[in-house]
Amino acid sequence: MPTQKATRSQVRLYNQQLVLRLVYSGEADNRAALAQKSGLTKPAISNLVAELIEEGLLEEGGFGESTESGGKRPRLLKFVSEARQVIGVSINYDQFIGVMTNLDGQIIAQHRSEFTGTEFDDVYPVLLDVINGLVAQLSAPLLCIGMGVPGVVDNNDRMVAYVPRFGWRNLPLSQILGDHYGVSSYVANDSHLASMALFAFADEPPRGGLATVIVSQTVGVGIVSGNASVQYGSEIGYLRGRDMSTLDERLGWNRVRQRAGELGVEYGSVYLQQEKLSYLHIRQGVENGDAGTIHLQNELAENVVEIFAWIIALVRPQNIALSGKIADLGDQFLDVIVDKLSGLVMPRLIEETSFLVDDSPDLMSVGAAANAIQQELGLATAN
Amino acid sequence: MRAIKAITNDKTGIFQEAVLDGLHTTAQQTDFQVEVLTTDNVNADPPLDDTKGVVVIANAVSNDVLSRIYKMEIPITLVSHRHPELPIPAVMSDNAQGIRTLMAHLIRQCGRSSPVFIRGIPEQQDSQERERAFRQELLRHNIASEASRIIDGRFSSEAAVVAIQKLLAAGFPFDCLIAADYVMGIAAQDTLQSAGISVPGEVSIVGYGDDRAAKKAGLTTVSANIRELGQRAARQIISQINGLHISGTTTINVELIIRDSCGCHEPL
Repeated sequence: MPTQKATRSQVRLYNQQLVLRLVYSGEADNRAALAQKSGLTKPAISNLVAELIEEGLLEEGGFGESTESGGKRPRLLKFVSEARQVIGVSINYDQFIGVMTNLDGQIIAQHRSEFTGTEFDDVYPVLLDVINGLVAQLSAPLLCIGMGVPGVVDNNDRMVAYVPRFGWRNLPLSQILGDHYGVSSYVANDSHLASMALFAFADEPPRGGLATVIVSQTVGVGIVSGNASVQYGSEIGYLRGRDMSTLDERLGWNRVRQRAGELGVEYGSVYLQQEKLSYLHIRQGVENGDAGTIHLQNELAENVVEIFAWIIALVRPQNIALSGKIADLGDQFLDVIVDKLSGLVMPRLIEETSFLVDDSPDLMSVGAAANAIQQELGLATAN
Repeated sequence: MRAIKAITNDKTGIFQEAVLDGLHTTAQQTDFQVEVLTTDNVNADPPLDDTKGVVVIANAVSNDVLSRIYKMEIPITLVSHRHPELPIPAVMSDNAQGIRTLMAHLIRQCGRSSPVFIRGIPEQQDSQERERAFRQELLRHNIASEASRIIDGRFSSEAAVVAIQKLLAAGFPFDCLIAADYVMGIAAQDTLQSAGISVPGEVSIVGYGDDRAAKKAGLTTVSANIRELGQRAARQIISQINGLHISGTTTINVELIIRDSCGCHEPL
């Protein structure tokens, strides 16, 4: 019966993931330990291990210590992180940034391409070109594809519900990519993925939860709970404030550039009247005490601080990261935000929170690859 | 065996030789043969009969020639440059990351504050990207962007020596030099020492790219694996020949190699 077949295959997949997870995390390194840790029978473990060895995901190594009762020395098992490769892609500004990683999340190749336009039919061919650029570099079979979008993603049916910047609605991107490449494809909100990447690949694992606020063309927030069991993220830039303007209209780069032009004229600021203005010009203007850029920085901080305050009040993560293009404003901008927080949030809550800035451009694509690995194999590529 | 043409303007150049080595190695594994075509005229159309794909190394032909090859629908991959308009895929080292790494190291670890950049050939993409990255880093570290902070080295020892001598004669104060390639970095080291300026005591020197010569000279560099650049280009062109449509750029990461020339290296 089809239903029973599906259930058996799901159980097998679940058990394979469990075995992989136990070996990957170092909780078990031989068949007996796997049986003990998983609660599965020894014959079931032997079959699962044989399947995973055949698939190249596990390999046998040397022999471990014999048990106290003096039994046979167990054959050690090792996870083969090079057995498969994974592609993660995200949208950064007007660019697709793609990475190819092994199963440890280690980057093997990167590919980027700029796009213009907002219609899916304009943007999709460029996305395929970027994935193809990484497919060309594969040195092991492709396991799956992860994708990050600056929008609202329904995690249950992996549907892109809404991408405000492009006007995309109810887009089955996961299915489209999966059908095109013949592998599983996982789509998630890019702020969620950035948070996940920061959490997983930080030099030291963040203690407590982590919230990541991404501000580039749009605004998003990603959350990872302290033990990484709860993760989510969403675009929030379309939310309207008291003056009925959206966060994107107040913090998106187009608005920042326009406002810089106005303040540049008002204050006669050379920093704000650059033809190719970037956040780095604003940063330099602030550092040199330019009144116009300090005014602009304060306006930006006023808007970001509200987001931080809501996050602290609702989620109380122990860490908040600021990322996206705005991160080029650096630590001094973060200091201004934290100063302003004291007017909105209890000082004790601020003291309990660590704040950081991360300006890595490939944060979201690395997160997309990590998310795909987690979804496909049940492996958290965390510290 | 199917033929890929690799077009270069100097097949014995250190960079080109390493790219070609990477191309040959990967192509051979996949039943392709690389034929090297050396050209000294960037505007001449190369002979491309029976060619399945073309790899052009470091601006060896002009954009007009590239456009004509593109119109012939022959797959092309570019190494270390891009076409400004056409969506021809490229393979490059991550120039921005490399310069950012060098600048951050000089300023944060070595305590330097007044850099001068020795640029390469202004018409070359790698050179342009490294210069643009240097200007960005001046902003990031709040360093005044005077014209004297960028001098012309044209990826040549001789030109770099002349530029540094002019810089010294002009009396512009600087405490570190970032060379757009390690060859100019070595030349800078020799020139300053000949002028009685202590390296790294008075001036730190770093360079982009790495080689045995840089190691011998004790030059701090960021290393891009140039052979890997060739290998990646081979994989890319072979996939294009096999029907994969690719645009954009594959980038290779670089790694900081700290040696004596920057002044914060503790000898073992």
